[in-house]
Amino acid sequence: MSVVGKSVERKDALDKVLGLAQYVDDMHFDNMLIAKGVYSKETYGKIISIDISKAERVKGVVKIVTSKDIPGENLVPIVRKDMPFLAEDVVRYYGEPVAYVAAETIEAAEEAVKLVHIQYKPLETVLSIEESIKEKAPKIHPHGNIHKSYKIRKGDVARGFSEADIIIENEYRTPHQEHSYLETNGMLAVPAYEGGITVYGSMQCPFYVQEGVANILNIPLNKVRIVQTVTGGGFGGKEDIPSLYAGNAALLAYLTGRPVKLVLTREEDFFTSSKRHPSLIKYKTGARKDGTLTAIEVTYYLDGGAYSTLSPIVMWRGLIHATGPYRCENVRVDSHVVATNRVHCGAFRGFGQPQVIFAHESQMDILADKLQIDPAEIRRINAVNVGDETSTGQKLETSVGLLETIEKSVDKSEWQQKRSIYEQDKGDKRRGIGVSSCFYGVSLGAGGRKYERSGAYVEINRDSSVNVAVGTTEMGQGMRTVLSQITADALGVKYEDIYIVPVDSTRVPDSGPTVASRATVMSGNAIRDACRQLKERLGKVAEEMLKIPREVLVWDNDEVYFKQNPSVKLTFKSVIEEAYKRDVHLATQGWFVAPYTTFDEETGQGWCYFTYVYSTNVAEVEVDMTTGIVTVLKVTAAHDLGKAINPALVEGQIQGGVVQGIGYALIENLLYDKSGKMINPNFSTYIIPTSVDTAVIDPIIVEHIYPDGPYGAKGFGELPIIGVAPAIVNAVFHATGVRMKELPVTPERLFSVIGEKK
Amino acid sequence: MRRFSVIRIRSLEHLFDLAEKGMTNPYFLAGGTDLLIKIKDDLLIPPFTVLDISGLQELRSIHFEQDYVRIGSLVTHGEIEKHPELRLLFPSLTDACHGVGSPQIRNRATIGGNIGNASPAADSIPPLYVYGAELHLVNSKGERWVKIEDFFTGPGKTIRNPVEIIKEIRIPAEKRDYGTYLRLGQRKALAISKISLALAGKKKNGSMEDVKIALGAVGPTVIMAVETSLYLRGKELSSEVIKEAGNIIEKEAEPITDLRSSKEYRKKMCSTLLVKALTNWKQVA
Repeated sequence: MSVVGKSVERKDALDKVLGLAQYVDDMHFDNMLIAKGVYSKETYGKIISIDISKAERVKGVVKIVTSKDIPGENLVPIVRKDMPFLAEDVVRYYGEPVAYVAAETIEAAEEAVKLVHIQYKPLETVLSIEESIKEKAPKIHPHGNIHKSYKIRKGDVARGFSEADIIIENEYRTPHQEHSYLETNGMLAVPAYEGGITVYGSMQCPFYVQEGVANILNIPLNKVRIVQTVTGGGFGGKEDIPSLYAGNAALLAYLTGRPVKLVLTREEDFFTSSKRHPSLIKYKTGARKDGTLTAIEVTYYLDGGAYSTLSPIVMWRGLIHATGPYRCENVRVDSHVVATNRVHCGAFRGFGQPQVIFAHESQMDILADKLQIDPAEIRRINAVNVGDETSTGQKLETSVGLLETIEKSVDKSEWQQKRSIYEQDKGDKRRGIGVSSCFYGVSLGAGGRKYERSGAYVEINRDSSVNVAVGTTEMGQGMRTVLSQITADALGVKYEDIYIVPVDSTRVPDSGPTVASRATVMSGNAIRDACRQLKERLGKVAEEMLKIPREVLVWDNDEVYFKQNPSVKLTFKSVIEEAYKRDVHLATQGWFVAPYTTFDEETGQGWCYFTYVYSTNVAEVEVDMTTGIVTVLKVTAAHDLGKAINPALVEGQIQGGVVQGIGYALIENLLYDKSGKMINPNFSTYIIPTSVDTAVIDPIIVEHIYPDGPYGAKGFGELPIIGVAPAIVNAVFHATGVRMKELPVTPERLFSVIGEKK
Repeated sequence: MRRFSVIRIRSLEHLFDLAEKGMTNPYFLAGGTDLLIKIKDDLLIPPFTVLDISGLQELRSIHFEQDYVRIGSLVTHGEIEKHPELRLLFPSLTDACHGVGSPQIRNRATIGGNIGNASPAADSIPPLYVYGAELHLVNSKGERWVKIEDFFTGPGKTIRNPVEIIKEIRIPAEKRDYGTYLRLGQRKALAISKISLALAGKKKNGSMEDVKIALGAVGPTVIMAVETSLYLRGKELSSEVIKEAGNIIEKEAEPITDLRSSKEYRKKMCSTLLVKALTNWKQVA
């Protein structure tokens, strides 16, 4: 009775529905202090002085820290170290943390924050990609304004364009996007014995946080214990910056000897947490009359903001996927992530891909239109299949379900009929249907090779219940459920008997971050490794109990039986009891190292990811020509993810991704004033979709088994948002004949273009 | 968050007694959907006193009389939107209340609070303009009746004295032939209007007799589109008239660019919403 492939109930469903889940803000320790940040009110400026004398006199204030109080290195360890825990002599964005206050009450802390007086000497700001790349632009960092550049060189683009019958060239722009997780960032640091420290908090990557805390305090990693609390959403937003919050909470706890809780308000979280990178993309595509691509040339800029955080690898992922899931022999891509005096950008579901996919899927649509080829057909013509090569020269060996996603989404959405029916709309309300295809490299790939391993600890208790510890985290995506299903099948026991213990950095070795749709494959395979070892030990016991060789025993549904005669059997429980009597070691570590990946920075060629997931989205919209308002009617989304361990969770991921994609395409827009201050840092002004703004969502699961994944799974989570915006924008084109090259497609923008066309 | 004191008001007499003694910066708490945000965002200058009037049952009812409908200031948007008789008489008002926030907000937010908060984007206010509502303002010294269009002086600003309470809203009980409220927000629900239009009108012998139009979020206060109304008077609802009315109203509005929309778009949408409203009227007539 396998539970893999079944939509079992989420492990955490009841706790969350009943309000029993304990988030970090629900936690309390005796003698605990409350921390509040002092955030820069200057966009870019030299710090002349910081005066904390008045703030220190507020009753209840216990400690105020600035960069001078940091015993360790004042740099948050991410990809490259350029972001301080606390600004030292310069602030580089409005909202940058300069000091933290710890006080007996939140009121005292807030009062003190207002009394910290910081004098700045304003510097000339850089607030856009265009400004940042100007030759005479002010330099934000000693290394200049380019955080990092990467390139791809494949074939000969000049020859490719000369072979083209049509060449199209366009510029695209995309905005910031805020993760809008339900729970804001929060950390609680508690001093431990012998100079150690424990930090509880909301996070995706406990081992990043561990390194951050060790760094700021200048203590070894073995003195830092990180415990993830129930985390109310992440979407990438809790990958990099939690290290900064944890570091500062730990610093206050370390210096005061008391527990310190730091939970951000929504505004503080908006100002200081990483966002999705805005982009500027110059895209040139060449194709033959029959629609086959001959050359692609892309210059891809990302606005990394004031600090580089994860920007280099975000851009790298965008680079690898910049040509889309298509065959093209001649490719040249240049990508640069640049510094500006806006908030730092980091990981966000899709990780550098949604921006460039908006560009390549718009290009494909324009090509189809100009060549009079059906937009779904032009994608089919160029789609990669098993045996084809990516733009980096990686041969795709197995599990390439792209064509099936195109076929299924097109059929199920009644694409052909609707293309012609919607074209009849001529009045104020016009419908349209659009398509996009994309792919996504699973896990970190060559860009994060040093983190491509994960551990698991599996322990069978004397009552035959099973504990599992992993180093990847649950943030709402359903990992505890999926890993429980994998464990249950690996041991042949019931799903209900599996308990994934809270993630604690002391339970398993550094297992890398929980990002890039990697937890299912990485932790799943580590669990299977551990379960293999345990079953080996249990096999010896069962073999002796049944007098049947263990090679022909089957473990299933809480029983072990003889393959040839299932009535010869034992309960799992009885085998465990016997094993305990014999002092068999029923706990073990599993370990998994990801398959080979590599990347050559000079040529941009390499085996970048060990496998890819694929999707095609078909969006239907209705445009009100008199207001420019776009209503998304339906999104049919087909995804090849190898194997759906839990189909209901997969469908939930698709639905969530579509909604986030609708926000990205049409609504969400982070705004800055001329001085570089974010002006809509909360949900009354930063608008995200409500249930009324969503569409009918039709998820389609396509399963092209990946042999090296647990039960054939490749990983999921990021893919659902990636292709949504271009499908919507292509549908808007079908409805109106207007091509929008900048997101979001607000009514104001669309109406003004419709007006120009009239 | 600031510390502040809250006084739960037991009756109007209790309120007047307190007022006589004098208070520093009193703010009325009715539904709290605007006030609590202001407190949280430190927009109120301390020290201030919150006067919780939410328990005043006498301000919670709706009365239908011969000449007027009287709506207590603590009646919620939810109560108004679901009220069948109000829907018959004042569809523009019930439509407007239906579009406010979410069900949770509509169940708390009061019409008196919406008026007192004096946002130019407030949804309940444009319909009150077109239906000729008057406000009953009461304080310890006496009472007065004020026409709704005389009440507002700017965004968040009114002629109300700090301890003067909006007791009720009185609307002439006059049946119109048509009423509607159209609004555009940044999303389809739970959005502050970036432009809104209330319209109520009567016909006589096939021509429009009395059409009142109010626009929200296109000026410092809600404004009446007087020129457009004048133009429509005595005309039939033809496509040409509708189109011309759309051109006129665009010139009447003086919107600005802000977080939610642009000046240009708002101007155009005045016309679009009016054309939609008049076209709907034409179709139902």
